Amino acid sequence: MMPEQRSFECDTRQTCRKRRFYATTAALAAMLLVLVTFHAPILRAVVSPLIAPADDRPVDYVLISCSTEDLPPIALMRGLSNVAASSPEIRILLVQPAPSLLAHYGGQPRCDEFVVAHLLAHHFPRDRIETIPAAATTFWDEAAAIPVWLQQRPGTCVGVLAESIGSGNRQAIVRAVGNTSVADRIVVMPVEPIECNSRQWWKSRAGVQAVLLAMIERLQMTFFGRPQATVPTWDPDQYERDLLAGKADR
Amino acid sequence: MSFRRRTTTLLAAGAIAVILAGTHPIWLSGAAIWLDVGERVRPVDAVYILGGADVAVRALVGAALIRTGYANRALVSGVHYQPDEDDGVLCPQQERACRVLAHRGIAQSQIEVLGRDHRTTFDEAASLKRYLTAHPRATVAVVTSDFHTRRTRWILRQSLGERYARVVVVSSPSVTFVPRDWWRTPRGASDVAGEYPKLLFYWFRYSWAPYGWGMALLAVAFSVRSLRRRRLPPTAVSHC
Repeated sequence: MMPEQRSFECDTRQTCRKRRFYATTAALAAMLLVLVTFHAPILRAVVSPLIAPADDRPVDYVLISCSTEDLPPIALMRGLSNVAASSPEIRILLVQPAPSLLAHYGGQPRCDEFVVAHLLAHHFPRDRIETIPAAATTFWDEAAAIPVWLQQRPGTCVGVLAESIGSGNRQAIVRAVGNTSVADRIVVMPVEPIECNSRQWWKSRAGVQAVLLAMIERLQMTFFGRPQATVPTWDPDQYERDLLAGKADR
Repeated sequence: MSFRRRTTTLLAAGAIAVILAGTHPIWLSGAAIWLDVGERVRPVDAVYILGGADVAVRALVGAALIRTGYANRALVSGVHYQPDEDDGVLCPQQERACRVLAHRGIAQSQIEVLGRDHRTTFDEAASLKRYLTAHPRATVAVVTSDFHTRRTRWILRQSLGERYARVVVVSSPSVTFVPRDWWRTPRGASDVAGEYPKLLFYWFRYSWAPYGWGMALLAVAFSVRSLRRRRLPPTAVSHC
């Protein structure tokens, strides 16, 4: 009696398992087919939260981010040159960055000085470049400085230049820190990157890298919000003293 | 799935999520520390400053090693640069590194640009291999960012073979975040969290190890399955 019962159970289980196996395989095959056939719209949809929609509203000021130790990407510098050339009325806005260690040691010019020098070299008038006094270390600091500045200038609109992949993050930051009364006067202006095409980002290594980094940034923003991290205080002179004392292990 | 099993799974997942959230400073800082395999500095003939966004900080560390007598000369990676790509707005990375070295008092005669047109760390490793072959007694300290040292060490071991014994990998710190709370800054997040997919990519792209591990896992899975089948009673097997 028992063996028959066991064999019946086993038979049922095997049948179920087989059925489940075939169903899973068929579902996976169908999913793969859909993914392959419609990969372009699917991959575009994946990055859509990372790309701010184009906004054609006219702006009075264009801001280029200068808050990190890195100089602006070349796509943004080109975008800035195009904007400066496109309208004789347009003004450029910068938020003063925090003192740069690399600029101090001659590694590169300070970002805001670099942008101003570039604009002046392209015959852009100095009196149409304005700098908000601050000590910005991230774009969050810049985004927080703009609404305060805008409150004293009713009716003024500011366009924030951003590389298209990641411009959605910029927009999210502007909305997160911005004052609602002036938020609609800040527009994110996506600029197509040079190394890749944001509509076909998966076709180049640079595109994949840009999407990956923008996704990481979005996750970081979502979970931890505005950066409140320890400010690094690395000093090359102290490092040398540590080396001489045999204390530095790196 | 039965109700009891489903509830247990959900509770277990919730408990894991709570533990992970509660202990995130520990494992997230651990993730950055794991990437840093920089070694203790020892006297070498030259420092090799790798290219990258942090090239100026790496150059500062390289300059410190020369100024304190740990090395005699600096080799600067010749990174790919095309002026028409950036409208001549930015200068090549090696030029920026050379400027920092000069600013720190390193003589021009002590600086050499190694290789040219480097696009990846593998290209830089290939140039170092040529240098070590041409200088059979030379020892080199490779200076790169702390979060990049694990991948660099792996690449150097792959590329240099026995010459790797003459190399020491030295970490340079980041000036925009600290490893103990890297996840609180966008730059820290992109550098540290972005390093893991790169490590995986390099592992799959430049090594046979993952395929070996994959085959081994498949073999184990098949063995376990066939063992389980053998244990079933003969009647049960005949029904299948």
